[in-house]
Amino acid sequence: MTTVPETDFYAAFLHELNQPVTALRNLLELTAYRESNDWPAVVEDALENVERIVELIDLMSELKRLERTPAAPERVDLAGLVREAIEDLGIAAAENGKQLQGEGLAAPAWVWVPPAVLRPALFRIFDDAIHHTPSGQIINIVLRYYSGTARLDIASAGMRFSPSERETLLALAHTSRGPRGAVTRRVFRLALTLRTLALHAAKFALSAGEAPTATLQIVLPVK
Amino acid sequence: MRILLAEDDGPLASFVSKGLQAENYLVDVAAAGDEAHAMITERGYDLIILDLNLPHLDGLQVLRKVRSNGSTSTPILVLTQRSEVQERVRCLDAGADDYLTKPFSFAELSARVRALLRRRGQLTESVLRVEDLVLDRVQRKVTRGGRIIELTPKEFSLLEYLMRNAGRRVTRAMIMEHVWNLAFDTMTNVVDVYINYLRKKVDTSPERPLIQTIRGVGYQVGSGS
Repeated sequence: MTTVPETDFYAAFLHELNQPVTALRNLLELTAYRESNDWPAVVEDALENVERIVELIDLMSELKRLERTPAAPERVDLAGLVREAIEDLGIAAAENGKQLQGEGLAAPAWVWVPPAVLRPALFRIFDDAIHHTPSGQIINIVLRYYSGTARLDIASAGMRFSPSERETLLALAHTSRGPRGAVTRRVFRLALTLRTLALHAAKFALSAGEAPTATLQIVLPVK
Repeated sequence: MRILLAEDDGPLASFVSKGLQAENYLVDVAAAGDEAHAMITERGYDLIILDLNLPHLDGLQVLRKVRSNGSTSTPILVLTQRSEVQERVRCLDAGADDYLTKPFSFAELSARVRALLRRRGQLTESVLRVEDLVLDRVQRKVTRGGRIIELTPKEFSLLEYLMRNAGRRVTRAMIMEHVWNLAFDTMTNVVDVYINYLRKKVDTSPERPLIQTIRGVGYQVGSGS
């Protein structure tokens, strides 16, 4: 069997970093060599690119830190964290014509994960789902217990990926190694977030249900 | 107000120093830990900005020496690398009042400096006022021109953060970090949505809006000084 060359977060990171740096460089060079009366717009564009670079550094720093020293798990109420995220982000979803709804969240659901990792990860995943779900559609979040684990299903049209994206996303999330090829910004960001959970015993699946919906499943250990 | 900036990176020290001077602070710069410690013991500072990676005596050692003295209650803001969480914990345990991770924005550094300088007065200040807008932290009550404004807990936290920084610009990232306790660049416009909700309740009179949008930056409550 031929070994398929792999990519990893560091290769994807460098690729991602190149884009805002190139944009910033071009923006500043063009502005330096021509008369421009619209400095606020130039500064705004430059700041956007700087924010993107900072975000990339943040994500990679967080991953590097957790790979070196995983955070200590605690007994944390997953249902409560999901309710909080739905309450906060649901308002933004509704303003954009999308609906974020939850099921199975009434009772506490105790999982064994560091809360400092779980909470931002949930916000990032829901934020991503809302952003990529078309207006007028629902993001359905269901919490269930399955044989000693808690499973969170996030179902929406925004969770639909191409087969190659799906393969890359899950491979990077589980092992930090994926098939060689370009990694889109979205896959990179989401895979990094999932990876921080995988380092704390989470597992994932992406199932394509009836079009246009697809489901991201996150399985977390229970204690 | 006199600030000591202990930072060995010349260009960064120059940039920060100029920025703070533009905000009318007097700024001294120390490029090494032993130099910083000597300056702190010789002169009185209102605030110290301390980089951890200093030559001769590192920032943590400077911090411990200053705090072990016992007589120096000057607020200390530590500059750290993003990945070094344990280091940040050690700094806070050793007596740092706040930290800021590199790369940072000057707007955030400036906001943290102001917050630290005001902290002692602010801790006892239970009521915040911006023109006719009043926020009572103890009673969890907000009024404008005497009219009671009903806010959700999140809206209250957001308004409190904006009013604590009245007259100053705060970025969306700063709002996410301080109100939501999340350090990430949201793709949804959750901050803008909450600001709009707040506006509808607080700025009902279009002639006197208090919540301003600062293009490319974020938001500001009240006019700058």
